Parts: sequence; C-alpha cells; structure tokens
Amino acid sequence: MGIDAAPLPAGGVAWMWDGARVPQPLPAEIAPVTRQILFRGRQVLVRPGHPPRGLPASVRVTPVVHVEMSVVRPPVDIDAHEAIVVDAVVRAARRSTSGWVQLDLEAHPSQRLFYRRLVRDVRAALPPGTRLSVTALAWWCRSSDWLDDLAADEVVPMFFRMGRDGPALRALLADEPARLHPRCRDEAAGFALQEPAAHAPYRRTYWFDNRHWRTWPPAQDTR
Amino acid sequence: MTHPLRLHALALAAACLFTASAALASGDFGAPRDELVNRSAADYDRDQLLHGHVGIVLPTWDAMSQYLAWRAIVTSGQAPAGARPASAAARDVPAGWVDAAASGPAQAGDDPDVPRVPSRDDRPNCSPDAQAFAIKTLAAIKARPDRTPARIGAWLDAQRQVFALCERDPLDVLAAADPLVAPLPASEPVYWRQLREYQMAAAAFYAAHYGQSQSAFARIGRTPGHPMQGLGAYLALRSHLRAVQLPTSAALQSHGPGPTPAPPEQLADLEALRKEGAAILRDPALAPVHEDTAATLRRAAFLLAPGQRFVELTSMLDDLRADPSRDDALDDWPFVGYGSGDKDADARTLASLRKAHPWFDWVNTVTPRDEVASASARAASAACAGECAHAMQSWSRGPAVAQGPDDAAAGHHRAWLLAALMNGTPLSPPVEREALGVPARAPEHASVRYWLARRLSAAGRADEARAISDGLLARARTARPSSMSALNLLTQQRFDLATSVADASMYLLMSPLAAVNPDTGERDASPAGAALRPSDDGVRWLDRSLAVADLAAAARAVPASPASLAWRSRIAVAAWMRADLLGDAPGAEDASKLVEQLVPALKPVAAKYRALPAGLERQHWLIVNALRRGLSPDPSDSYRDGDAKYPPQKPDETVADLWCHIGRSDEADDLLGKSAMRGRLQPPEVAADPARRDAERARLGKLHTATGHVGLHAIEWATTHPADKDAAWLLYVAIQSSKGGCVDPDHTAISKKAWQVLHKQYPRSPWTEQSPYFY
Repeated sequence: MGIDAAPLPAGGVAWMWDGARVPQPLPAEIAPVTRQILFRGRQVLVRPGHPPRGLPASVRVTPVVHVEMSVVRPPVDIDAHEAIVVDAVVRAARRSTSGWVQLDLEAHPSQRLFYRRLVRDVRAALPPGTRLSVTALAWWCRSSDWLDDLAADEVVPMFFRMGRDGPALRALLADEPARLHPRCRDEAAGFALQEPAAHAPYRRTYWFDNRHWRTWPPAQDTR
Repeated sequence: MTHPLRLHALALAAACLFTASAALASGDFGAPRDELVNRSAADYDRDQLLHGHVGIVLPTWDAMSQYLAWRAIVTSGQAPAGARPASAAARDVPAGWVDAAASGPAQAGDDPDVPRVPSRDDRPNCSPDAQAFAIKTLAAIKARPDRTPARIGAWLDAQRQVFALCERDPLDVLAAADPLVAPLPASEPVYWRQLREYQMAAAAFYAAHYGQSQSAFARIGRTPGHPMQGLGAYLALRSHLRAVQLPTSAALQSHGPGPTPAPPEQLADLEALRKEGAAILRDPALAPVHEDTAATLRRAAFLLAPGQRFVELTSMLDDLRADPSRDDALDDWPFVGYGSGDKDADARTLASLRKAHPWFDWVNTVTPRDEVASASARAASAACAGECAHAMQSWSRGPAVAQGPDDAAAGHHRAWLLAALMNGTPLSPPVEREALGVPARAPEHASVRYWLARRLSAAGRADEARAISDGLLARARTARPSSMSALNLLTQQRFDLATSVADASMYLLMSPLAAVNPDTGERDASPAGAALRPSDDGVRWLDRSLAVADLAAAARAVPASPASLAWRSRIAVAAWMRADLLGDAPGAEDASKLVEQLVPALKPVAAKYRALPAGLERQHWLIVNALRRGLSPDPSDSYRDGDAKYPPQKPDETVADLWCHIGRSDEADDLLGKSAMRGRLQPPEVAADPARRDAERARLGKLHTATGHVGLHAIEWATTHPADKDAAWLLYVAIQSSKGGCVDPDHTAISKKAWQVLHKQYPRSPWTEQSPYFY
C-alpha cells in the first residue's frame, strides 16, 4: 500500500505497541508488548498484546509487559496483586529470544515502594540467564529514591514526552550527564523518533515512534 | 521453528478448548493526540452511528467509522432490526480486558485441588477458562452421591495429566507424545467413565492428536445423557480446524490477508468445517456453544481462505438491511485486506472492489491514500485530482441512477455530495445549491454544511461561510446525543472565520474530550465542568499573532465562566508581563487591572504595581512576584497554573522558568511532536494594529531567556538596592536557574557575576550559604 516506515536508528531496539508495523529494514531487535495489565480500582485487567509474527529468527525479540495505573479509577491494594505482574513477566520472558524481558511501569510517586519491591520480586522469579530491563520516567534520573539499588539488570530512562521537564532534562542529558543518576548515564535509554535525541554513549537504545512505524495518519485534514 | 508459517497459523488459531475470541485484535496509535477533536474515529459509538448520529465526517477517520457514516447517510439513519438504542451507554473501558484479579490465574485458589493451568499468552493451548471448567466439574463430582475419595482422586490425577499436556507446545507434544490418559475400568459407573472419556479426548486434543480428539469429541456429542454431550460437537469442530493446520497435513498456504484464491484443498477444508458448524448452529440444544462455534468458523475462514474472507466481509457490509456487526464483520474487516504485495495486482483488485462495493468506493474516495500522505505536494495534488474527479462524477450521476437493487439510490447520491465537498474540488453552483438544500434532519447535514463552509471560505466567501458556521454551532450546542468533537470542530471553524480579536476570542476556548488512555483505551470520566482550553492553533494565535492590547482585549472578550477563568487569567497575565517587558506602562497598568479582577490572590500585587513609579521599581516588583507565583508572559506555557489561583512557590525551589522564548511557540510544538498538527485552522489577520504587534514581537524576541533576564535584573537590583530584603534571594534564584533548562549563551557569565555579588554583598545570608557554586 505504499506505506513508508520511519527509519530506526542503527543498532536501536524498536518499541512496538499493538498495531505497530514492523520497521523496515528489519531491525536486529524489537521490543513488542506481549501483555498489558491495567490496575483499575480493585480490578487487575489484563489483555494479551499482539506482537508481530513470522519474523525471521535473526530478529531478536525482547517481550515487554506494559503495566498501567488507572487515573480514572485509581488502583486499590496493588500489593495484593503483585503476583499477577510477576507471573506475566516470567511468562513473557519465555518468549524472549534476546535474553531480555522488559517491565514498563510508570509508577506514581505513591507507588514507589511497590514498584521497587515488584522489580526485586520479578528479578528473583526470572531465571538467572534472563536479564530484566525496566523503563523509567526521565525525572527518576534526578532522584536516588527510585533507582538506587533497583534490582533490574538495565534501566531505560525514557527521554521523550517529558512535558514540562523536557527542556531541562534534555539540557541535563546533553551538557551535564554526570548529574543524572548513574543508572541513567550509559546503560540504556529510550527516545522517540519525533523528538530530539541525545548523542550519549548508551549501550542499548530503544526507540518509540509516535506513528507506530507508519506514516499514517497523514498530516490531518488540511485539504 | 522449522514450520514458521504453520506455527503462525496455529498460534492464530489456537485458543482455549472452550472459547474462541470474537474479535481479532484492537489497538490505538497515531500522531500526537488532539484533545479537542477525535480525528481518528467517529465521536459517536456504533449504535449511535447506525441511528444516524454522524457528527462531522473527517477524512482521517478509520474505515469503519467512515463506513458507518456512509451507511447512516444512505439509509437516512434507519438502523437495522435489532440494533441497540442510540442512547445505550458507552463502556468506559474497551472490550478485550479480562479481570485477572477476579477470574484469572489467581482464582486457582478457589479449589486448591485443581492444578493450575498456564495462561493463554504463554501457551496458547491453555486458558483460565479450562481452569474454571475443571473447578466447576470438580464441584459437581464432589456433590455426587456415588463419590468416593478414590474416584475423585482418579479424576484429579487424569486432570493433571491433561493440564500437563496443555502446558506444552502442540508441535512439541506431537513430536514426542506423552502417555495419554487411560480409560477407567468397565467396573466403574458409567458417569465416571464418561467423564474419563472426556478427559481422554481433551488429552488427545492438547497432545495435538486432533484426529483422535475429533472422533472422541464427536462420539461424546452423539451420546445421549453424556455429561459433556453439549460440548462434543463444538470441540470436534475445534479439533477438525486444528487438524487441517497440522504440519502432517497439507501445508497451509498463506498469501497474506488478501483476495488471492486459496488452494482448493483449503477451500474444501473450510467447506467441511462450515458444514459441521452449520449443524451445530441449527441445533437449539447446542445454543450454549453457538457463539463459540460462530467464532471458530470465522477463525477458520480467516486462516484457510483469507482472501475470500475479505470479500465475504466486504460484501456483508453491503447489505443495508442487515446488522453490520453480524458475524463480527465490522470488527474483523479492518484485520483483513486485499494487499498481496504485487502493486499492479493490488491496483486491479482495488479497482474491482470499488466497482463492486459502493461503500468501499466511497470510503476510498474520502480517505487520503497513504501514498498521498507521503508523496510530494505535486503528486498528492495529482492523486487528489483523481479522487476529486471521481467524487464529482459519482455525484453528477444524480439520484435517479440507482447503484443497486435497493431503494437507497437517493442516499447514495447524498453520500457522494458529501464526498465531493470533502475532496476539495472547486465549489460548483449545483453542488452548492444541493448542499444548502440538505434538510436538517439528514444524518449528513452537519458534515455537508461544515465542508461547504470550508469550500466557501477557501473561495473567499467568508461571510457566507460564517453564517453557515454560526447556524451549525447553534444546532450542535443543543444536539442530543451530543458530540463534543463535532462541537469543537465547528468552534474551531468559526474561530477560523473571525472578523476581529473579540470575535475570535468568543470561539477560542473549548471543552476537552473525555480523555482516552491511548495504551489502555480507558475512557476518563465526563469532562463536564473541566477547564476550557484553546486548540493548538488558538495557543499559537495568542502567542504569535497578537499585540499586548489585543491580548488584553482577548482576555476581556472570552466568555466569562468558571471553566474559562484559567485561560482568561493566563492571557491577562501574559499581556501584563509583555507590556512591562516592553516598557509599555499604560498597557501594563490596564492589564494589571484585568488580572486584579480575574485573580483575587493577585490583587495586592497588581495594586502595588500600579502604585510604584514606572521603570525599574515596577519591573522588580513584577519579576519577584512572577517568580513567587509562577506568572508567565507566554500563554503557551500550558503546565502553569491550571485553576487561576497562582499559589506561592517555595522560595528555595524557585527557578526563573517564566519563559524560554516569547512568541516562538513553534519550538515547543516541535518538542512535543505537534508540528504536524499545525495550520489546520488559523484566523485571518485580526490584530488591531499589525505593525505594532510585529514591532512588539521583534523586541520580545530579542530578550534573554527568563534565566538571563532575571539574572541580569538581580545583579542590577542588588547593586542599586543592596539593602532590599529580596536581593540575596533573587541572586540565589538567578544562580540556581543557570544550572540548566532554558539558558542563554552568556548564562555562565551572568551566573558567575550573580554569585560574586551574592558572596560579596551578603556573606552571611542563608541564600549565600545555599549557593556554593555558579553554573
């Protein structure tokens, strides 16, 4: 149908949400959402993701478990359901062909202790050979409370869609990375194709495309 | 992974033993979200659309929204028999979620005896439904009078074997089959032996011995009085579908979801499956499995003959008397397609599909094609020309030429009228006349008039466009069910047609749509009472197109309400601060009075400002209070005060982030990925004095960032007013602000100078103690 995919920077891992098109040319690694979990009031709603199928074995897959905290009905007693997330990540890890599995949970400040405990328990539940990657809101990089001794093998600060903190964090990343938390300096980072990205020496970079690797929808109804 | 194609097919097909999912998938993606207008889909839900509530059709809607709009137009909003009422409440969380806390793996604790099954996403062979069914069965056998610990134990042992098999990949099991479940001795009562027969069949199914499970389940379905008789035929059907996907059977040929004919053997398999399924669906005694049977048949068609399934679904949507949701046609259609990868063949297929299916032709006409979206302007124009001409030709055929045996020829004609207007062809008098004659009760009325106003405006007939827009807005405000998206689109159109700053300001603010989480589909609570906000174009207009006097006029002209207070005050504050930065004392005084009226908390600040002598004293007072209260000359600073209260900031956390670059909101748009959303609707030049506006913008554009501006002021103030109680704090703020964020090329020099003045003049100040470095 003549759809032009957005280019993925060399060596980058393509984050793929449901509905995303596989980037072309094929990347060496993709990180598709394989499970979504929504904490909503007393409910813990789950649904499978729909990762791309039929990819060549040469494309490594890092499954992502995306956990969302409802802002419509704030979650109640999340601790009681931690096992559902642990279980989901462990199961997702069995689909990994990269050796990595990723937990994507944008915890609210009040959920910090739950989050840290969850990461610890997920790490403990995963086989030793499977490495745990966790995404992090960029502002966590300015705090030791979130990232000190976090039990993940990799922290991926997301330097995009940062809202009011955007300019300051970009400046910090570009000019004074030493002021970021050590876990945010070189191991991994996430960027969006549509936003400025830093040229920092990260070992792994993950890339989000606002258009989910499509050019659709076009530039709106300008006719 | 030696059979990737077959594994793919298996994975698509493999659901639990008991249920088959109805819809294939769903997702949400797209460009930065417009909080005011739903541009990717209709604002009305499916039932409302079927009853003729269309709103304003946009070319960016998804195909199914456009189909439903087309259908509503063609049928004049006559919903098919059995459709739900248009007033049925929308769900606040979309389908597809399962409550794991209530029904998922955690429920395994309901009966600790029952072994836990893995979830479907891990091993698609299994599901929590199997778990739930086992729990139910166990409860039934525990209630039987002939129960014994030995019989229950034997059932549990067999169930564990079944679940052990289901945990494994079907192809692995096939390669190295585990011992299957053995039958019970003939000495056991028939009920217990029949339960074991079911477990044996299930084990065969999970072990990928589908031929065996098919015949075993079929036998169970034919056995009167068998405790699992109601499931037998359905599970035999499922076994049959799995069997035709096995590597040992003829390889499935997949051409992608296109209309390429499937091989004859696959078509024969599908036909056989459909016959089996039809028998189940004809049997009222099997009603509990009818829905799952239908879903299995849909899945079979998708797997075995995807091209034909696409044609079937497309044809099903042709029938205007039938429910378009039957057989999940509306949900499944987006997941099949005609693309085969061969460009020429696809073009031929597209042409034939458009010829055969009026709705498909219409949707393709009003939707900008991908190649148009990504092509050069010239190519896009050429492509548009083709669709534009097609729309006009289709409309020109007139209502007398029926496009089918139905009685909806006039409806087809009306749909093409809308397509002709949407496609941007020059407005012809016949099109205009007919558009003006569309009755208000017609589903397309608002869309036709909206697009007619766009065409009139483009033709320089703004007065006529404005009159149409005013009429539409009045109707949209009282329409029930309401569409906030349509109302906001019309408001933006009217803003685009404004004749003055005051006129534009009347249509500047809108209610945001109920937020929908793009990741979860979760719908926020009703936005009633939520703070009004301008569109991105409205924000750019405020930031870039108005002089100080215009800003003040806008703040006064925006209709007053509690919901508009935040933006009215933000505009007034911007006017005040810009006037002060420009040295426009009368303008600043005027705006300060407006701020005083709108924000009681700022009344003392505004009153004292006016009482001070114009110049440095006033500038200082405003800077200090802007820092303390978070005031900004930049109305696009959307993160600032949201409720017009401007609470005091903590002194030690205050930074000079009042602005980056005044009047350059495009840069912020780029950072937020909004640049693609620019330029939809911008009002014409309405500033009272454009030359003055341009001069003001030029001067404001040359200012330092707030960091530099505050730094320079702090140094000057401390030098000229060393005894002032705020001088040391201001220097501290200047130094802290220069750490990062928006800074100027000379920020280190300013920071160093501020640090020197602070340490020299205020060595014992606590602010000095907190400022060991400059940046």
